[in-house]
Amino acid sequence: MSPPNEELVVKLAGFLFQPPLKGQPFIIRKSIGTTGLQNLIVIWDRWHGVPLQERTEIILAANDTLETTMRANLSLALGRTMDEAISLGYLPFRVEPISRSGSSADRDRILNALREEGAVETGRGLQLRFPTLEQAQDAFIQLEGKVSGPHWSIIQEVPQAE
Amino acid sequence: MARSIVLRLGSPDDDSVPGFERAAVRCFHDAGRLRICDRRLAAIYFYGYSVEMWIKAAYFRTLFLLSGVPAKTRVDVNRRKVAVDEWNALGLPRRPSPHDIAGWAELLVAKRTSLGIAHTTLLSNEIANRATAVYRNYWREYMRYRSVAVNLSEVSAVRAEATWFRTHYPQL
Repeated sequence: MSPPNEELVVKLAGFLFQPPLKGQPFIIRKSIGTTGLQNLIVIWDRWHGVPLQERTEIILAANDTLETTMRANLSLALGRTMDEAISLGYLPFRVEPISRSGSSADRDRILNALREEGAVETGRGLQLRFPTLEQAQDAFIQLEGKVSGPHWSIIQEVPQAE
Repeated sequence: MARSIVLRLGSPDDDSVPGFERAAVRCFHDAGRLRICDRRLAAIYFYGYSVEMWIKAAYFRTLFLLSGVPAKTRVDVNRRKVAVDEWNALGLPRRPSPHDIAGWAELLVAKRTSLGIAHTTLLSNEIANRATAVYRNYWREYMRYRSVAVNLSEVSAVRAEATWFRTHYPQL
């Protein structure tokens, strides 16, 4: 493994041991029925420039460095950037200001609050996204504390029906 | 007088695994011809469809084989709905939409795992990553309504992925 990838293994192992309370990487673990196997998806902008299959190798290697009790038996180990995760539907919950009108000072406060909660610049502008409703609600509460008033909404994007 | 296209095509619910397999091969060859004629967008469109057909054929082939259902059983809309409705139980973080080949690739991998016939870790992730590369970067089913410029290297990239799915179909 190349030195930059080894560095990512070490960094990611730390996050797998103790996921960040806020912001990236988003670590999504899901069990596959009663198989004892897990799918692990790591959404992280540090994946930029790393080919998809190399990301998988990094995640598997990071998982292998954990103590036995912490180590997951993995099936899928997928790494996606924020932009990729948004376009693929891994982060369906979006917290955003209801209105962007108002003074420029207000707009700055709103944008700063969004960035503090982990919003990232994407092809669709500044986005604050989450994999679960609970995480979006937590961010919503934090944002209301920072910029009070009827400023925020939670939107869920749903996939197209059959 | 020619019979109507509806009569000739049959019902959309008449899809089957052998039908998907034939469609995949046909789309792949059509894509190759379009590529030679420098119809790049159309070539990508057909290469993408061949990937979709191989993934869905592999999913239902495995399911039917393990359930003792004949291989020619119809893959109707209801069967496809039942398949995607399992996303949460199979440990997937999202419900795939009908033509979401990345989501269907994950569904295929997770379904085989749940049935006790998991791919190797390397292969399962390669299936998901290659399908994601196509779906994220090059192909959407609605591209038939659009006109965008694509370069030759993009056609080559999708062709390489479609070729991989064609070659590995027996193992999917």
